[in-house]
Amino acid sequence: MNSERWNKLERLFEKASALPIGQRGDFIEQACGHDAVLRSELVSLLELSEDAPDYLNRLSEKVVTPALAALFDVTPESAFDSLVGGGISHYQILEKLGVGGMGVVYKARDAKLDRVVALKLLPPHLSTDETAKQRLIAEAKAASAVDHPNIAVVHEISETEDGQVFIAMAYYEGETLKQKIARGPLPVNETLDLATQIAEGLSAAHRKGIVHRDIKPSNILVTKPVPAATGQGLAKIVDFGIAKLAGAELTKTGTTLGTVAYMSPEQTHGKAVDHRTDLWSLGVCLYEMLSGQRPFQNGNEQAAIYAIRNDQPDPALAGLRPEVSPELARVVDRCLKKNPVERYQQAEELLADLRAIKAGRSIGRWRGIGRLLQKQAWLYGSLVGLLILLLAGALLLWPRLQVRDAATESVTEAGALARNRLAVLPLANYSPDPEDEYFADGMTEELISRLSRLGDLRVIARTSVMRYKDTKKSIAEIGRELRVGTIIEGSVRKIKERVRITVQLIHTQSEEHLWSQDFDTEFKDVLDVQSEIAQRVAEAMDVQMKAGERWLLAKKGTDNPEAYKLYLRGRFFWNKQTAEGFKTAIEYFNQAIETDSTFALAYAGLADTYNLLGTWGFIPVKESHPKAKALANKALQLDDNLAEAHTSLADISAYYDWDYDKAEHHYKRAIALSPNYATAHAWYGEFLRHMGRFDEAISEVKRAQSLDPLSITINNIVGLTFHHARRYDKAEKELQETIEMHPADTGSTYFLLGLVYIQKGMYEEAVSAIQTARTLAGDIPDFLGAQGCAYALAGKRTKALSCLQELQEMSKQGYAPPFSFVPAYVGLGQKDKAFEYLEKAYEERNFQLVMLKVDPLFDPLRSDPRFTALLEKMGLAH
Amino acid sequence: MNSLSQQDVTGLLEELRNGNRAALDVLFPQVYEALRELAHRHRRHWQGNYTLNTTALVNEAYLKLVGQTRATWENRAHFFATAAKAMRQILMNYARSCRAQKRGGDCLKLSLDDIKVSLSEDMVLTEEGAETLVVLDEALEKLEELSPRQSRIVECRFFAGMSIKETASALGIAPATVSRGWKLTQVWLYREMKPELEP
Repeated sequence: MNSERWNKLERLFEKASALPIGQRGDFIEQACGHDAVLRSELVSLLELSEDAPDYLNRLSEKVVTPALAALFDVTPESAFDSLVGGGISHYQILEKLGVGGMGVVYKARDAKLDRVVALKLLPPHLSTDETAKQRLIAEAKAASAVDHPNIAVVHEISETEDGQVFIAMAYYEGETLKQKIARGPLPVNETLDLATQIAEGLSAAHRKGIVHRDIKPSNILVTKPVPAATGQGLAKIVDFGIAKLAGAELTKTGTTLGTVAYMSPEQTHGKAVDHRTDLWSLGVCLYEMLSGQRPFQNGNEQAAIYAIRNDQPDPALAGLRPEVSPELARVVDRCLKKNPVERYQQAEELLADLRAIKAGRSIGRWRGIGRLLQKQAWLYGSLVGLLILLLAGALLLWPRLQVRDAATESVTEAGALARNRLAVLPLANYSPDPEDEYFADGMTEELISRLSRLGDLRVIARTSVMRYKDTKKSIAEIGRELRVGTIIEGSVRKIKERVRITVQLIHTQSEEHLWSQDFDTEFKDVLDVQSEIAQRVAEAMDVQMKAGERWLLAKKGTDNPEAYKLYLRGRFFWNKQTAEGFKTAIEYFNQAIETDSTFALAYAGLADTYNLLGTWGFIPVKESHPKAKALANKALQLDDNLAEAHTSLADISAYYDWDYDKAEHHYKRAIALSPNYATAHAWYGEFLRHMGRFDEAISEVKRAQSLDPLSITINNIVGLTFHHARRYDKAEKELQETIEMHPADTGSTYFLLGLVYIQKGMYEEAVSAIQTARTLAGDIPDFLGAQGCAYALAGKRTKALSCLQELQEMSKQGYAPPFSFVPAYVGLGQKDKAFEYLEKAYEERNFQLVMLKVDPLFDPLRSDPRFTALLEKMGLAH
Repeated sequence: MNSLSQQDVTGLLEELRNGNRAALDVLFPQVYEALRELAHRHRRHWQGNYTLNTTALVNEAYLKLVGQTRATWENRAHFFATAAKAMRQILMNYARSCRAQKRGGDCLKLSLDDIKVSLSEDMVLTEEGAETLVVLDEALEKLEELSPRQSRIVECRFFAGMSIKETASALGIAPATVSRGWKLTQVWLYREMKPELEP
């Protein structure tokens, strides 16, 4: 075995460990194929994975540390045993009470409050990183705060300066339920009494939304009977919220401690669990109290899991002990339904039955429903389940649904953020030369662009993730803001020609690191490494690739690293989206083409640049667009699979050639090639809107918004789409939200808001919104024209005329598109003037003319034959 | 043994970084002495404290040997990795001699290369403990062949008590790489050691 083989083993081991035990066999079969050596290696390691951390911890504590301490002549006191007589924080250790899977428990004296407590020390967290630990501590604190007589009181969860996590609980004299059962089955009455108390404790916790997840006899304390008359002790559930902190979750095996015997079927599947998992586990405890044995105890772990999922507890309780009534047996049976929907749905239901049995009443009340559910369990199960999920989902999401429809896509039924929604955070630049920042950004963009080609993923666009460059926000926060379940972060270190790229995949809600890898290479091979990184990420995320996607993921733009470097620099400047940036970008793209004349991406970059230069009015479209078109064609001729080039060509076809069929063809092609390319969705949506196909348009722009939630441009497009669809309230809402999101940067959003107010007849508000736009973004000709319109409609003709005056001035001194005059003349009712400027705009082939068909601003002109003729000329009449 | 100047130590670390393994031989006794001396001093402060804070010890040794002004991130990381390795060697030599002497008598005094180690009176590594350490060392040697990196990780975590983050920076790899590798490595070591220790 060499180190490559070790790495493979490591990958497979990690994947297999993350799977529920029952699914590992299939995975191993599939992953190892004919490699029998690898298979047996993997199997033998997985078999031991549970005990290993514990063994190694002991090795470290009991052997290595004391020996080292001796060598350095320091008294070794690390072993827990020697703590007695010592202290932790302000607790003085009195005696050792017991050792469990979740740590050692001592009786101790709280020196501050002078009371006796039970002090539990969790096993040292050798394998947990600090942030994860802190989060678990916080969770445990929250979960342990339930105040109920049947829940053990937790005084404090904290850690020592050395990071030793401890839990100080109230000290109860008594024993655990486990110790009790060890002496044999419990009398029925006592069983009923204890089960009732446990159910009461659970009910209190569940009402607060807290699930224990690890109910078992060793987690139930039974105190010495205090009211001597009853002869019964009090049941106290311990360790609420500690299961995770102590690493006792099956899904994180490798560190699983304890037993699977009390796990619910859903837990063995590693599925998300809810409060009903506790009711299952209580059912197992009930069975054990009554029979003295566990219902699914069956040799080894695998067999136990099989039994939990498939077997009916055997032998039947009633047969086992005659004094167990059929009714009580039915209660146990109901707790132990494999499908949670068939179990008691709430602890209160179980409580009601237990109390009824205790009082000698019938438990018929719930049976009707139970039978009904059993009869058509699946049908009802799924229907009821679905309804509950929908309701819960609706309630949870209600505030959000109102703000952003796109949210639905990103949130799964359980309320979890979809794992396949992925954000690639800007890779940090660790290169000593700050000049190399372009390289880190380029790697980020490249990774986004490659992964965007996978239809199974939802990859957040560059604009949105770039906002997190150098962010101090936590992964969880970013996850929430972008609504992604998975995040990629990493770094790039380029020292001269050596490159190291580190990439890691993180689950946003748990901040758990799912996968990470370092890629070391020479700069000349960086192109190969990129496709490798994308493929590794896809593998790590278990993406099912469709035919052709693997190829799209791996394909390289050029074999020439020098050309690629120039291209990256070009994109770096392009992304600045300023006239100066575009100019520099053109230089670099041209140099890239000089270095590799077949480099399609560089042509596409140039096409994009000219397209935007024209569209944004930096140069006349008659100059920019023919150039952009030729370049996009050239790019596609070299590589027909470039989504970017198809998008550019579609845009030019729509807004310059007015060839709408061709435009639609290229938009669709771009989206097919790169389903996550937000720009393509947004532009296609705009196009559909201009064609009057509003439903389709809204769905496209919403898709773009979901992929690029923080992009102002795309949010503006969403607002404008509702505006043109004449859903003004919705448009206003969208735009207002965009403004809230980016208060300082939204001149154009205020402008659009002004347009909406004009249609709502709120002319004063329109004037002031557009004034804000002018303050934020400057005197853009379109703003002046629209403000003129608003003034005119508000009856302030003088002000309207002065807007026109300003436009004229601009026109004289530089350039103001004729189209920008039109709204003001429409507002003033000067139709002839309006048509005069529309005709000028037509001569210039102004791209905004394509809006004519749908823009409500032009409604006063629609009945005029000149308007119909213009639409006719532009191919927009139908 | 002559003390090396801070400049010398810095130079040795530099050489070590450039792959000159011989530098380790010169550096090693210095590192050990520094660790020992500091440990002694700490003992007085550590009354009532129960952990051996190995990392803090190594860090102090580093500052002492290299000096605040010459301390750089890269140097420090290298020093830590070296110290971890040194600690493993010290411990393993000790365990081996202890095992040998157990058979012939006691292991209260033993020599580690040129370094005399005097043990506190009450500390005697049991035969079983010594045996376990030797088995661990053999398993680590085997691991070294399969994945030198994992072997380094074990040294840092086990023998220098370093956290995942500290290990990552000492070895120049991502923290996630350390924690991911750690899981398999633990199981792998356990599997290797298990048959050796079971009668």
